[in-house]
Amino acid sequence: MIGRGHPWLSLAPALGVIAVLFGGGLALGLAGSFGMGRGGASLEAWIAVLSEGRVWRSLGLSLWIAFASTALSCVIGLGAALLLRRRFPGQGLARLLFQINLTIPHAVGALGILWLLSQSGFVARLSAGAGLIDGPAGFPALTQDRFAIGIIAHYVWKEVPFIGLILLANMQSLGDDPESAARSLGASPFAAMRLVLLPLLMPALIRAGAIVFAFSFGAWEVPVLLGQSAPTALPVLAWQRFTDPDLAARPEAMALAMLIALVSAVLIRAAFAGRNR
Amino acid sequence: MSPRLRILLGLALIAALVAPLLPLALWSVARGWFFPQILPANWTIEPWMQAFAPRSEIPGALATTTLIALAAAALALALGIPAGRALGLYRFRGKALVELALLAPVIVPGIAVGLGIHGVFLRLGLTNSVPGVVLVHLVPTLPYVIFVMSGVFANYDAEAEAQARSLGARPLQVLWHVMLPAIAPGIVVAGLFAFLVSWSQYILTLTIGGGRVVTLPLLLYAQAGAGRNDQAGVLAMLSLGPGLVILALVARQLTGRGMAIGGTR
Amino acid sequence: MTRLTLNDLHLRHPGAERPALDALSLEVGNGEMLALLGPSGCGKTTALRVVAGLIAPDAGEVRFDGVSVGHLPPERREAVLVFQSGQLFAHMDVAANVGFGLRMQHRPKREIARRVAEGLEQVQLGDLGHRRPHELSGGQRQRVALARALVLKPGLLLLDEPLSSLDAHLRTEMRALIRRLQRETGITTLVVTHDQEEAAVLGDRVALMLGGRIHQIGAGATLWNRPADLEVARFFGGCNFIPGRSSGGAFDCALGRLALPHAAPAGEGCLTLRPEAIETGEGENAVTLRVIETRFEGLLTRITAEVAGLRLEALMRAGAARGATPGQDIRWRLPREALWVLPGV
Repeated sequence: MIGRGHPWLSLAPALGVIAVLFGGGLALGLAGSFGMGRGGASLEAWIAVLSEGRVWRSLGLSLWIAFASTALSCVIGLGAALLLRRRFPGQGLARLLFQINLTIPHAVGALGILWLLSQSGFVARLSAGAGLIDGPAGFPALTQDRFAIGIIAHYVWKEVPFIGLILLANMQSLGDDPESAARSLGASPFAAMRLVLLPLLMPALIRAGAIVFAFSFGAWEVPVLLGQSAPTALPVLAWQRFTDPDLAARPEAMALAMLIALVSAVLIRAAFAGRNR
Repeated sequence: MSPRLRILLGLALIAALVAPLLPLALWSVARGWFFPQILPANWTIEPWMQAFAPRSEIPGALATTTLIALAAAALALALGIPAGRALGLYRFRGKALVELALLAPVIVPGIAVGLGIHGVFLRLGLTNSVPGVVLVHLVPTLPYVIFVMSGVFANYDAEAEAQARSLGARPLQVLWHVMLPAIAPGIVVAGLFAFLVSWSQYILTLTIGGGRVVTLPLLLYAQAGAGRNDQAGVLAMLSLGPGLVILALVARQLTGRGMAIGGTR
Repeated sequence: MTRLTLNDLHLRHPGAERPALDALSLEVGNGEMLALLGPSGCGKTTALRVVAGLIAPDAGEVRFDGVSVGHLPPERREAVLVFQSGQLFAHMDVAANVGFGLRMQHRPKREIARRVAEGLEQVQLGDLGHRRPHELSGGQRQRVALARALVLKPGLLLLDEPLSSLDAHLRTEMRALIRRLQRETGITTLVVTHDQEEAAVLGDRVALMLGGRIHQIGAGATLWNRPADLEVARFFGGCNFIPGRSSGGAFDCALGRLALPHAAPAGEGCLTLRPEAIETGEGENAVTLRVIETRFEGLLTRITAEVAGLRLEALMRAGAARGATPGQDIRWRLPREALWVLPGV
């Protein structure tokens, strides 16, 4: 227990489970995409998937969703953190309420966003009540639309507190000294924030952003509810292929899932860059 | 920025963040609430009565979800506490790689793992079963537990264990009387995290559970899709439960830091 | 109570250049309190941990009453180590802390309660049983840590720098307490410290440890006035080292022929003399020197003087130091009893 340290015994069970379930799951998905287990390995599924226009459109859509969601969440999250870091009446309550979204399941949030932003939703009814529109059709299509506005709105709604709290924690440990030093050297508050604070927050922001990107890229439950049916987000497409009664579609589903995993793998580097050793 | 502006923006922020919960809450106490009604015409508690009536699927889903989440959290703790201790207390070669491996499931979307592992689970008879779902829920929950516990152990003074041994405590006694009490608050936080992650799962439950294992998120979408918005509203409110409990308990401990991963590690 | 024997211990921490323990040998008699003195990094805490069983040595033996205990884990050894920080268990109150070891022995509750109460009385904390560690002052915490160890009536008590975390004014009090407790209980005790005064006050004997090995053991005064080698002398602030030759009860050197208190082995050697022993005036072993520098150091003044290329430093009270002016000659007497020829140099 104490002594020079033999940590591997303590790590083994967890590592084992992750290796088998997570690593194994990925490996099997890869194998499945090559058609293994159904006779012979082949690139058939991959070729089919990569030459299909629908797949590229879905990929493009998912990337758009991820970029837009991450960018907006980061900016608004930073703003929220800057807002909440200074003392003002109700700061404590605001900070507490700020955290609520973290505990709300995505499915619940997605449904809420749907009922909020759909053409017959709450905001639409407020507009009708204010005389801005005549009927549901008069309200812009924010859900199940081409630009995936509803989907992006959901991710921003959910992840702004996530990013905001990470930044708040970092700002707390940084303290006021860096910006104070800049101010006493003649920098305006905004310049101090931009040139001193922001660079210091960058590592944490990048890590958090990578996590948000990966999630908004690869999640299923949000686009399935808030998205169009064509083009649809990549995870939804993968699921459709997986549940297709034609079993030949399975390898293609796996290939799509592997594509999703690939994109997130690229992000792992960013997500864990510069962690304290 | 003047305090007044801060309050205003703060209010706007909070309002925006709480907004989606409104229609969900309202539907759970409405009978028929359609365009262009801003507020339900009829307020009633009937949706809740129906939700817990004998023929409702909701109590079953509630029980299932809770059971799965408890089991997943317990397993994740059992595996994650020793792993967290190893990462928090020791330095060793390959540690960075291990950290990467243990936290990768946070980044890689569940669908990539679920589709792949489905075949094996099918052959092992784990599909369409609660145990199978519990197992697969380990993938997203374990990294969270490990992350929290490694942070706890990083602040842990292992010298206390040496002192206890010098006072005559055997290793198991040291574990029970010295280590566990010291890390207990961390265990609670990690366990709650794991519970919440399992509670919120959708795609993994759907893939492995095959639609037979009905948890709250699945039932939520099903009811909404079937037009039973009132039941969906009740389900949404029920789904918020654990999260609010956690917030109340943890908010005090974590003060301004919030449940943020990757933040101040 | 136990006799402790350390036999030729070797230990090198992984990645360290020099060994922490280098052929360390030591004997602590039954009922004795030995102070293990040394600068930080000399290995004394490592030695303590080896005795406690928390680290295994690379080589060598640890014996309690002549029986080797190397194979015993810490919880089975009759030795209790009290850490420098006290290491009170924060989640237990004082009574639970003190009773911890007894609880590990599965003693009946009533017995534990009785012995805990006695133990707390012994350290004069009788009515603080319900407090939590964070509610106690530093001195009180240290006393609880002591009580926690003593209540087990261990064969061997190991104290790692028990006073270094305390404020100066508390230290004297605690020192007296530790001395009294050790005398009352008669438990063989090994105290590790870097403070010379502490070592001299606490220890029946003092063992000076430098670079992983024991250089000298004896009463505090002996180490002070009769250092076994150059390093021991330097550790205690000795600074006058005079080379020369001894023959027949006298020492020939650049200062002349100095009378020694007793015969030293004939031949080349190094004479040492404590700065505070030097006196002004005439008499046996008087020399004339030129003052180079005087420095006020509070209670005493340090005077550096030189003759025939040899520098001497003296520490004197204000009155005696008055005559010394840099550039002037001065007459110093080197009392015979204060002269010591370092053996083997």
